[in-house]
Amino acid sequence: MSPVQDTVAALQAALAAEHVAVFGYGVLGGHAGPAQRENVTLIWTAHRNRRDRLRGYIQSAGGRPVAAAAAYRLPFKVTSASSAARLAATLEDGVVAGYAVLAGASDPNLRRYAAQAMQEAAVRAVRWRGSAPTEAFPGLPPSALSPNPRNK
Amino acid sequence: MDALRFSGPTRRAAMLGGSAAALTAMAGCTSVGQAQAPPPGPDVSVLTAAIESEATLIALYEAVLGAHRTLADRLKPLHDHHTQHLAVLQRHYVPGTKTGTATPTPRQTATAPDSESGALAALRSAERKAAAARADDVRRAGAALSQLLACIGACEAGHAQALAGGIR
Repeated sequence: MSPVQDTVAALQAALAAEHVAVFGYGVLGGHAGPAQRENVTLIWTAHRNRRDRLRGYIQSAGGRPVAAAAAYRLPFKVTSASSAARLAATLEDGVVAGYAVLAGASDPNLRRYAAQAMQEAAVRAVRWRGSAPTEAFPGLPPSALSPNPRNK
Repeated sequence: MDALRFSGPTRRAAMLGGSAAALTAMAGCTSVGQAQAPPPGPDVSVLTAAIESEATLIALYEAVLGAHRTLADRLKPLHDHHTQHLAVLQRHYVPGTKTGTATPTPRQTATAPDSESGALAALRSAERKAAAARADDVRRAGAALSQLLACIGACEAGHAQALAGGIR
């Protein structure tokens, strides 16, 4: 693939993750506790804004932004405020992973955009879980680090 | 209905591409002779800074862990992440730059604040600073290293958040 095609593919990966997040927050919003509802709306808007910017970047690069599916199968059913928070954390994990591809793009500004989006999502995942990150390299598949540094 | 997929083929392909580059770079580190060593690439200064940053964080965690035993359960996992970051960054360091020499292991010392809350605040501030630096670093690093730095930065931003409140 050419550098432009690589960039578009990386942008599409991030966009796909944002599509899932926008859908997922829409689903979980109805179950969020009263104290979380405003927060959910703010985050949903933030993901929509990121999604729109990614679409713009893809179009500028001559690509056609991947469309959102009508619905996504979520990893578990949201039935309560706590499962809503769990889903939100899972969605943010997916966003971190989606942008990790873009963090390796050839355009330095896109790399930085991706790195910042990853940090925002990682912070939100911690807030939703109420616990510290468990991964040393969030977004990076373990295979990318083999051999495992702990076995070094 | 599409399945919820966080690791689609595009992402995985791209990540594996990055890792292949990283592994190739690592594999090359022992075969570069003194005479053929190319001039340091832009990755080197970024790596040096990131390695120093991790060593600084580790030293601060160790100072705090030594002074405040009650924080051990909370802080040990975070400290462990940084030792993993440092190990992976050091594996990246050598190719084509310093020939045959061991990867520099910066020795850092730190002093822990007297109070637990002061210690947590110091760690939080150090994590924030590190995360911001990693987000800036990716502008200057190559693709594979950028992905790694971005993931490390995301981890550090998460640490800073976890240290901010009553989060365990």
